[in-house]
Amino acid sequence: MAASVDLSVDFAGLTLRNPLVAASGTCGWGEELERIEGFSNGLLGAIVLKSATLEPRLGNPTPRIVETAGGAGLINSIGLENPGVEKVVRDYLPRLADAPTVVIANAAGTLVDDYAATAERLCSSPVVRAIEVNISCPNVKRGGMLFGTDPDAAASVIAAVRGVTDKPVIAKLTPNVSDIGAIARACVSAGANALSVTNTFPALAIDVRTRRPLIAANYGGLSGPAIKPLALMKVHETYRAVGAAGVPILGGGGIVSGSDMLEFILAGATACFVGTFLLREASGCSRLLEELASALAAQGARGVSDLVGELRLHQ
Amino acid sequence: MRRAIAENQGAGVSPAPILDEAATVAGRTAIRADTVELSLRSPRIAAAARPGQFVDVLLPGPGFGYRVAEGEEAWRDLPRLRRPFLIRRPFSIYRAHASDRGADRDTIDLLVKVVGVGTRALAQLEVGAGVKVLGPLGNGFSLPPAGAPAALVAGGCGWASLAMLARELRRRGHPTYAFIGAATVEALPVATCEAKARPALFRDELPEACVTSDELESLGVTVALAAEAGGRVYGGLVTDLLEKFLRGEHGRGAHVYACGPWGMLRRVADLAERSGAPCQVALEERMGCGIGVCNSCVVEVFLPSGEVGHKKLCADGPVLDAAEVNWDQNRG
Repeated sequence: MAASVDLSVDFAGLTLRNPLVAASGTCGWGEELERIEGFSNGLLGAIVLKSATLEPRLGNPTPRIVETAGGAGLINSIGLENPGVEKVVRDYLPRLADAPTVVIANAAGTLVDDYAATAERLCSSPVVRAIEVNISCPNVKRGGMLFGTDPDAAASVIAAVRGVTDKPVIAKLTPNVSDIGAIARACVSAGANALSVTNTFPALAIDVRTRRPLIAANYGGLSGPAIKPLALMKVHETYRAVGAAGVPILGGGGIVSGSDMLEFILAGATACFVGTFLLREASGCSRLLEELASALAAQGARGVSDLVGELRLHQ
Repeated sequence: MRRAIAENQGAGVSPAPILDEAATVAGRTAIRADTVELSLRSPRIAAAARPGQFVDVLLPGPGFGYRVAEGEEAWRDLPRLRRPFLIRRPFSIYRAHASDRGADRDTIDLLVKVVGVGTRALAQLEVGAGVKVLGPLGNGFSLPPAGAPAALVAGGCGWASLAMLARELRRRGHPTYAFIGAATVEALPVATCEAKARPALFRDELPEACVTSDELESLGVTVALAAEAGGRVYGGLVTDLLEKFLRGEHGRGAHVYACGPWGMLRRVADLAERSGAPCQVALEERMGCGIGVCNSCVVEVFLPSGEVGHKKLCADGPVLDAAEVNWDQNRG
């Protein structure tokens, strides 16, 4: 029964073999997970590479990660550590020339011009099929999330990136706003082809013995099953804002099963990203896709697109 | 100080595949109030493991592939349905029996010290329980040239990453000395016993150390134990033992291997440098993925260019050359 379900999706003009996408920051520069038995980039619809910035960054002090929320959540504060866009384009991207999946790069920055220059350099590589713009990193003091919390600032970054490439532009939004729909509309008006919803939720974990935060940078971003209901709400709000205009959403937050993926699809996502799940069990991606195919078949759907945004709200 | 980013050595540094093996608990022995020795039947990882490498252990849980079977009463399974923890926990491979004659060749042993919810859940596993083991991970120790003596320096559970090395060194015929320290005798990670006949090393150079470990001496490892609180072992820091050893005749030409708290490692690195001894250290940092994608477990190192950069302990380590570590970095 599941075999007759078509998992391929059209996402902002890209054909993905299935809607499962590796989230930025959890699949490195595209090669690292491939060493794990049972995992292959070819299992995924797309991979989104780690954020690159114009200049190299060493990131935040350690510890940078802590598990929380009774084994349901993970807080991280890496601080956009990366070797700078030049090295990424020169040394890392060419290694993905034969990658058996769609490669999406990710640009971050402090100033609007940084974003544009970084995105332009990334998009100069034929390996890169689309550019995700990180206007939502909670773990840097300047830039990052600040751009994603104001519609005008978000639009200025997206417009600048739009100006340097013809490839699909995906705005990665922060959940840390009261009206994500307004940010989404601003990004689309500025030229975004798709939206990625959401980045991590700003969070704090405390060691009561020492009365200190468990993360060296004090605050971090929460991911994992703990945020799934919150992320679903943000995806749904975004879908209500821009779904009718046909803008696809890459949705995720705490996905650990095919059933979770279907929830995001029903809420309005065309494709789903997994991040924390990859840190837990990258070899489980094929299971997620089998579960999704079964769940779609159980709904009588022939493909993913039949159910995107098909949530039935109570009247 | 100028700073730069190190090469991304996590990608493609070792072509060896990383196994994700379904393993079962083959044995569990409490060795201290807060520490158990967990034996996992994990034949492929046991065969592939090298000294100094580690594994990342996962407890399968609900929503992660666990399904309630048809007719099964879910409420009776509530304890099983509780998700114990989210991401894997890293442990040094304490022993891999593939290279031991007579032992259960298919198993690896881990020292699990309870420090939080994840380690507690693992320490409470019953024999027969299923886990998933990702490994072998990390670079492991480089062995010294043939015949060179080796000094292994451990602080507490740091011994877990050195024990397999001790066996390998003895198998290759290296004179091997182990210096193991803890706050108290009770906190030492090895079972202790009275030394029957003291080797010359201790008569001449370390007369205070009069308690040893049967298991290690049977391998031909010369052992000296230290406890800051004193007792039946040397009363002081384990690095005092190393200092005396490196000054003495037996320490000439020795290669030093160490694992333990940052302060201890810093002192070991200093002593080794002063006596010109090559020194490798196995470092610890809170870890995320275990394979080099999340950039959680970084430490500051001096790059060949002289600049300060980062290495990821999971993929570029956990073993680093003591001379490349920036020992002045802030460790929270």
